[in-house]
Amino acid sequence: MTPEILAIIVISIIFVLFIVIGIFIFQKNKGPKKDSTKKEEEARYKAYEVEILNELSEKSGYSLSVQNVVEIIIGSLRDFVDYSAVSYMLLFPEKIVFKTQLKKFVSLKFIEEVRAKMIDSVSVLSNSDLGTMKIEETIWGETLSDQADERVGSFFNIPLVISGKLAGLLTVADARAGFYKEEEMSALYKIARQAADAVTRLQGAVESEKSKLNAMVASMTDGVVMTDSDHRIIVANPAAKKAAGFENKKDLYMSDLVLALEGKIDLKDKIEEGIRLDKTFVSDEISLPSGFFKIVVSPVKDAWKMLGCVVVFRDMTREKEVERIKEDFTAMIVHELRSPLDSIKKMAELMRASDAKKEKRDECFQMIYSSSSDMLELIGNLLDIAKIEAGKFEILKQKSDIKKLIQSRILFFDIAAKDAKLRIESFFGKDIPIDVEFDPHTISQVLNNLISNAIKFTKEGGVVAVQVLLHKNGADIIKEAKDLGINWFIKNNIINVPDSLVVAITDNGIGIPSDQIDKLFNKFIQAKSTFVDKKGTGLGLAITKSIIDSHGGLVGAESIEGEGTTFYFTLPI
Amino acid sequence: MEEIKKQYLLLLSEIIAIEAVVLGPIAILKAKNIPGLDVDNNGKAVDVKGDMAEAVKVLVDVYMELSSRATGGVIDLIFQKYPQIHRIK
Repeated sequence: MTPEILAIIVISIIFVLFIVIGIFIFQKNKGPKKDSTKKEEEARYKAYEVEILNELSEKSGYSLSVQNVVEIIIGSLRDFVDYSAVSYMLLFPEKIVFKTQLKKFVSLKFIEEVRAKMIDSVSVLSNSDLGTMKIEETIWGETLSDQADERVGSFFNIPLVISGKLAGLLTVADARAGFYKEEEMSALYKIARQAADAVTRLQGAVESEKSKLNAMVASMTDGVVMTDSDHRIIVANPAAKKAAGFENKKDLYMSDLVLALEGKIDLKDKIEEGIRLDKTFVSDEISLPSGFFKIVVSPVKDAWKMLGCVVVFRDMTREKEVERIKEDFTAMIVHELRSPLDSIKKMAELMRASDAKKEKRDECFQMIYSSSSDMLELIGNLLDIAKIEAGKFEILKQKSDIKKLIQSRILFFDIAAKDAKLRIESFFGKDIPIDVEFDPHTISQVLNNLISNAIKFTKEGGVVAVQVLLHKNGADIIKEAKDLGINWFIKNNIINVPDSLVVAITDNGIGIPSDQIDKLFNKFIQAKSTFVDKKGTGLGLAITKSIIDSHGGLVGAESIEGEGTTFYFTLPI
Repeated sequence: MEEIKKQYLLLLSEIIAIEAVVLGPIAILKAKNIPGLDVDNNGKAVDVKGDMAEAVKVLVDVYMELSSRATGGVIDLIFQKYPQIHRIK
């Protein structure tokens, strides 16, 4: 082997060695670089994901719509993937909203193709043909180009699901074919899903609050209707439906309300005015088939914009009724005062006549005395009612003997009973205590009222019975009375009565219709029947109730029309 | 056996086709990644090896995840056309 050949061999070996070492070094460096690129990609996905979730979290305080979610995703999408257009479609019952942001110049055909693909997707997902639905379209970003003639080369659709329901679709499209890598598409699906999940969770919390609010609105006695800024009704509580005469209608529409209020107020006009001028409107009392109402129309706004209007139907029916009852009451009192005054005036005129005989003058004196006594009694009752209303009616309890009190009252009414040709009886059960704490003056007033009423409404030959029994807590009062041989009209048991005296005044008079019993103790409402055709204001029973209430007792009445009535009261011992 | 496999391939092809409408071409890419499933570039299932019911389940799960479960109803409708195929849920 010549030295030249040897040199060539050595050089060749060195060259091969360099190549081998070079390949080794290249291979050795290639692995970490690949890993590092992958890690960089992952970090980029993660950063994008965090950015979107952070933004969602920041904005969730005041906005939770699916539109906000897609706009947040789109807002930073350009940092994540390249695209020609990103579009979203939101589904509403009456329309589809289609919005596209263009990053590059594309043709109208490109947009139409994207829209068609999205319509196909949502049609399949919703299992209905949405191709004929009204589409509200908005395009922003770059302008459409007449020169561009690219078609959609690559795209992917991301369904947006909020609370388990398809709310829309997000589509990323590019003119380049096969442009998107599986990894970046998968990452975007994941991010969109996490964003939608975050909104679902927040909406769950909002829905929970909303359902509490709805329950509250539903239970309100005033009618409440809320509209959005387009005057569509979004909430109408049962009271509002009832007020407008649509009690059984599931969904209330603005046209229903406008029709119900036609000729009374122009509701649409008032709502528009309220929103435009930020002003509350309050109507006069208006009469609707279900009663009297005041309509209040108030604009509703948040910190940024007008959200709609709230219409309140304030039910004035009760106030109107109370007003009418008070007017009737005043008219009745005026009448009751005027009649005796008229009599007094006439008697005085008669007495002034010089030729009036002594006998006639005595009769006049008697009538003047009687009429002025009636007036005094009425004024006394009115004063008592005024004291009761003002909380100044005083009860002075002291150890008293009910038996003695009743006997003295029976003696007092003996003449009146004889005049009316009827009998007053009394009955006292066993072991009636003689030292029960009550106010003898006011209980005497109660007895006077109940006994005089009984005499007034019992025919000739009738009987008024004053009966007293001692009730033990927990015992059956009707059985207690039966065991003592008490005959009365109480058929419904009086329950939850502590140890008490039960005093009952029973007559066999004309009786009271059952539907009038509840009105007996109301100072402004008189029972309507032959019961009140007789003289009287009914104030005595209202005063009786207040006196017994002040003693911690119960008062009530039961009656059979044509047979008689039992009024009763209890005095705790 | 061949008949049931044919049914599986038809079912798989139908699911991939409908998901390609719903999600786009990613539906085919994802189908190609399913172990034991051979899918051509048009999304047609040409072969399935091993547990065929399991392959269907894995594919459906992938689509359910991508669509946030919105596609469940569509897939149910497709399964109704193949009563002889046992669906693993």
